[in-house]
Amino acid sequence: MVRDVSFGQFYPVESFIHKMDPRFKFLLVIAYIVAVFLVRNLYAFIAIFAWLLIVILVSKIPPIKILKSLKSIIFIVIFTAILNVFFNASGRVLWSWEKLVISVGGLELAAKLSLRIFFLVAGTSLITFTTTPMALTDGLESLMYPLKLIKVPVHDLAIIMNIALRFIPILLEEVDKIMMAQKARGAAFDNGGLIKRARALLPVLIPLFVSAFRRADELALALDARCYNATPNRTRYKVLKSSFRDVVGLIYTAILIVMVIAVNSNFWGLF
Amino acid sequence: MSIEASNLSYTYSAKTPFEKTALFDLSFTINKGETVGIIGSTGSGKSTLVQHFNALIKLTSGKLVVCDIDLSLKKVPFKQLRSKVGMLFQYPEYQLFEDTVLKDVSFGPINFGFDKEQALIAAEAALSLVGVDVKEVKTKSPFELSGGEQRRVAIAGVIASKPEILVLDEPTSGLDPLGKRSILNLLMELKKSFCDTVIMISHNMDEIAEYCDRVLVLNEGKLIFDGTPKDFFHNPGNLAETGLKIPHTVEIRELLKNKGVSLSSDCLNVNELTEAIVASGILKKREGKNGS
Repeated sequence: MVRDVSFGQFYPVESFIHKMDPRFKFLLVIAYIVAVFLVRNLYAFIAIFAWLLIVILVSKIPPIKILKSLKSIIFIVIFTAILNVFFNASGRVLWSWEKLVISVGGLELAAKLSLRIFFLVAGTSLITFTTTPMALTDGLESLMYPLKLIKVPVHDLAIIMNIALRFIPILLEEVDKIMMAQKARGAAFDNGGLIKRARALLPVLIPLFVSAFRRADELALALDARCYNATPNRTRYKVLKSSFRDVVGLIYTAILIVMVIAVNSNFWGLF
Repeated sequence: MSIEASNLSYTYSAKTPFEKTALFDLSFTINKGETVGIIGSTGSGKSTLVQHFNALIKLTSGKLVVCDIDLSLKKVPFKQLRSKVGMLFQYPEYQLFEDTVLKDVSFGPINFGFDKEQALIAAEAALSLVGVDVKEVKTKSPFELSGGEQRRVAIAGVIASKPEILVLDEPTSGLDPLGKRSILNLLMELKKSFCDTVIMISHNMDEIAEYCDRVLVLNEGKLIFDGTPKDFFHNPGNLAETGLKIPHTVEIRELLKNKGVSLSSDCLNVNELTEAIVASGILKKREGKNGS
């Protein structure tokens, strides 16, 4: 069912990571992304993997959930890997035909890129698994505070993002309902070729768009009816607070970056 | 026998923190020709139950046979089943998508293997059956129609393939009183022609009392009553548990009883109630008093 889409869904358990300040989680995820891009040799991925594994264990999210969120990008990964294997000639040549060359350098690059994409998605999906959409947008708004000085409507952007995130499950449910209604009228969604399948989605997409616009209209009216406006000085129900957990996270991530740099340069020739 | 369920259970999102048991060990049989109302408060599992009839939800535990098709088999013949069991969802007008009404109504028949001409004929027949002006409406976009017309067109889309069993999930929600009545009368008309078994979910107890000859009452996923509306509504103990309201007719009967007028026969619809009131003789007494 569509409901099983796991990317971007909050997973409600109590854990150390769940209780962290969303602002810190954001910053740490950015640091993690930097670390993933810093990796220059394959051994450094071991450090990343170990770091991520511990984070996943601490967050109490079943690893199977994370793996499911990786399933959706497998196509992109295979595609980029194939391109890199065939069109990147460096190092010892293993096999060649016309312009296609498989070389050691190409294989290494493909492996690095695939691992990089996997680790990026796995790490970033953790933040949505452990943070409610509300906390996520609050954190984002607070982080973007400096932009307010140059008149960027930060609060508006945050509320737009919040509504978008909030509506993902609602629209998924709607898809489910419409699919059921069309299935009851004999529509089949899981056979035939690519074009046939794409066509079969029309009876779902059109009602979905119609209802999305209707919902947007109703929501706008409801916001208006309650005199909602994004004027400055709105107070919050839940004020963000940082705690010792965030310091622990900070130190832990700093260790990761140091490790990655160390592995990259073979521990500065120490071993 | 149309539908036969034994020990039917269902759990949503099993083995996750979102786990929720929706149906709990249901067993019942629905016979050909019956009009069955399924009632219960919100979240009692009514929709989940009826979605099983059409294999829209995969049977996970228990046994269910619909129109002689066993749904516990590995390979259920979906198309055959769904052409026999028509299902009308809540707010069916939200499923319309084609550019003309006629095309939309023929979507079902075409899926069920009618050829194009047959499908168009079936669509026109269904449209005239639901009481819209076929000539005027058939080339229009379904989104141009009014809410009531949209609902009729959506119903036509379901009945165009002539199902034997019609399952309706709150067919009258969101309509005005006149619209409600005409939709229900339409269903009773259909019952006389090809689909003689009607199963409907409703929150409106007046409709259930008037139109159904049997009710299944669900509460928190359990079947707590299976019998005639009369037996159910005339037993106040049944109602307290479920948070349902009694039909107006029964309410009037109770109020009269409190005032010392007990009606002899049971009365669920307006005609029966009127008859019973006349038969009780209280109107005569009043007239007599006025006369003297």
